[in-house]
Amino acid sequence: MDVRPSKDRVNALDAVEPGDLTLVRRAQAGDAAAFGELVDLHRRSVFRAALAAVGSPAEAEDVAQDAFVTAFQKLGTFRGDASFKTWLLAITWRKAIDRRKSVGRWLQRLAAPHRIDDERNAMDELPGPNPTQEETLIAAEMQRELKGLIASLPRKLRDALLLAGSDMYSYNEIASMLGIPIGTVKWRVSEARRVLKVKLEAKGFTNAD
Amino acid sequence: MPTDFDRQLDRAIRSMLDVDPPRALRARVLASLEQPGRRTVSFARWAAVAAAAAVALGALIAAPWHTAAPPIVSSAQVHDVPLPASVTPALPRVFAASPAASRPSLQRGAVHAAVLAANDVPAESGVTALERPAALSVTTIAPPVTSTLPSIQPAPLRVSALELPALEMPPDAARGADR
Repeated sequence: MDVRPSKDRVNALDAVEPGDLTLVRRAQAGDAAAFGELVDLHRRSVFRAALAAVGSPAEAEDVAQDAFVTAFQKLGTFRGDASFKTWLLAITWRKAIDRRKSVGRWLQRLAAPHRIDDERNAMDELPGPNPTQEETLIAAEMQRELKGLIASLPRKLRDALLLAGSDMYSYNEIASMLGIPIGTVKWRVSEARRVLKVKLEAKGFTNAD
Repeated sequence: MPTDFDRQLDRAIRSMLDVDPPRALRARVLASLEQPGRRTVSFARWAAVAAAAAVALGALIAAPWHTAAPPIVSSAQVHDVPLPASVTPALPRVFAASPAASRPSLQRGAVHAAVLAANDVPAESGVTALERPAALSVTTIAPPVTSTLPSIQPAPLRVSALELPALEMPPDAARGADR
């Protein structure tokens, strides 16, 4: 399994950066509209990082908003050593972890236990083109099992797996978010996949390769 | 039927995170920046908090310790209940003297009925007032009849004197003894 980020991903990340710097400088000078542009540029990556951590779209929205507000307030401390996105994602992840540990979250989940792993999208669970009926059923069943198994992974493995599997972050950004070396990120992703495969086989599924 | 685990795993992860942020996020962020002390919070969050509070309140109300039960009256309170002349005052004392834990429902019912009778209140709650108990009659217990058995006298012991035969020494032994 290749755990390296694709070239397209890295190039796309680098391409955004020059625009970011210009907008950051303008926002640091007090231009709220420039910060609004930064919000639009990064809202998806910030939201999905929060979603990977807290698991609920409603909570991820709150975390994303909180992260952007904090980023604006601390914009003066951003020196440009890392990319703005990396810096912003680190803030987002800290907010998400705080949220995940908060007591109030348990109360909310008690009342509204909606999670991303509860969502069932039939189109997502369909296999490739021209599947037989049996393949369709097996793929749908495997998707259901996989989402449950991913949700039951240890948090360290699950965080790394979801962030890496989202195809939105480089391993450098994931390492910065989680505060661990890149090698550890790669090991966690690989270990998470290995554990999931073992559990799938234990449930009776057969790997094709 | 074999399936490609890696492909299915990638698909599952992407579908778990395939949720787009709301378009209003920028407006919410900018609104929060303009009013630093006031943070815009989604309606869903407030609804969830309110629902959680309602669930917690419901759980408190439905908890088993809140089921309606008659108040437990201590034995001291039982003694203080003014009973009319028609009610035998000894009845509550009987229950007060007995261990309360052994029959709590009976005690509560008896006390409730005694209070109803004392206040001349009709038994609307389904608990009827106590009636005068029938007079108890206790027959004297006769001691058991015991029969006396004649004493057994032991027979006197008799010991007869031993009669030993006279010893006769053989002649050889008598000669050896002379030497």
